[in-house]
Amino acid sequence: MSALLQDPLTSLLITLLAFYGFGEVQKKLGGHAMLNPVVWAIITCVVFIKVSGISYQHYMDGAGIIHFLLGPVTVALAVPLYRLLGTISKDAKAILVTITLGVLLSAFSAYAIMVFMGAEQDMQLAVTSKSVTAPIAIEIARKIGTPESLAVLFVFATNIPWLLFTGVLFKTLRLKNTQQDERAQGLALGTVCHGLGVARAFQISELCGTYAVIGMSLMGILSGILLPILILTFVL
Amino acid sequence: MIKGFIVLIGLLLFGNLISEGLSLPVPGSVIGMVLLFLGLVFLKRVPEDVGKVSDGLIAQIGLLFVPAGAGISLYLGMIAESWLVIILAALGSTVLTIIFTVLLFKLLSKGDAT
Repeated sequence: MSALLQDPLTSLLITLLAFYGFGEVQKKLGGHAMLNPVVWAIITCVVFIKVSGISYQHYMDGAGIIHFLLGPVTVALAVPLYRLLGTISKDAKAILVTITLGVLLSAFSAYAIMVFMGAEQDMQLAVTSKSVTAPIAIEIARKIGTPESLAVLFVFATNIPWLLFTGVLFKTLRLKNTQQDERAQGLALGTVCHGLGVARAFQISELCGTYAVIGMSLMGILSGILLPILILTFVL
Repeated sequence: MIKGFIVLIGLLLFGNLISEGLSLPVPGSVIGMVLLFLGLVFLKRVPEDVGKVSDGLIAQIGLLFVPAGAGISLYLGMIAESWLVIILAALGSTVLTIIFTVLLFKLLSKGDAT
């Protein structure tokens, strides 16, 4: 048993199996957001680390090979953004102004609530990237020196439940099925709820989903530039 | 496939060098992304290999943050203590920003011009 735990391949295999397994479960059960395979794979790995008694560092000896790909995938995010350049240029000013202010409001409001509630500084800083797509949130955490895992925690554990309420929220805002309203909803879902928001937006319509990808990509790139500059200048 | 990886890893390395060399606060991977974006705008197309590798990685993007996420095993105590703060900060900021982005975009966009 201990030989099995000593081998880093065990950590790697468990990570792959958990992600694949829960992905299959989600597909079989109709793709519900609460069955998100990333969240359940993380929970599985945390349980594995705790129950087996291995250190997180030892776990990363195996799973680190997956972790390493975060850098290349962040660079690769330029490709979907480039493909949507034509759509963005139709309404570039509205999109850029909305998302830039969205970056600032999302980060500042979450930070202010944390400070007001007297949370620890790691939490105050990690929450600022909660609406940023996870690979970029992790890169921001590295730059500002907060734990990467807290960044991932805020990206996921927080946005899933609220996705269930966005339908109600959109109803309250009296949004209709016009193209403009679908674009606005998509942009908001992508900007605030990143990958999960994009999936939700494609359920509404193709147009809504496309705008969600625009929201998520620009939110990621602008946050990746603005948040570390603001945090390192004004907070740390 | 290999050509696509060479481009991504090369730009990532270049981004890291710029970020660290000039002590910039912006992460190297984000600089690499901006450079790739500018390169594609310049080329006016996505080279086949770069497109294939990028799409392949992005299709499995969820898997890539599982190991980082598993790091919360080091902070379970802190999370158990502050779960209420976590929920309040996330809920408040999310609802506020969704309402703001929807209304602002509707105000600024050109209507049903698509």
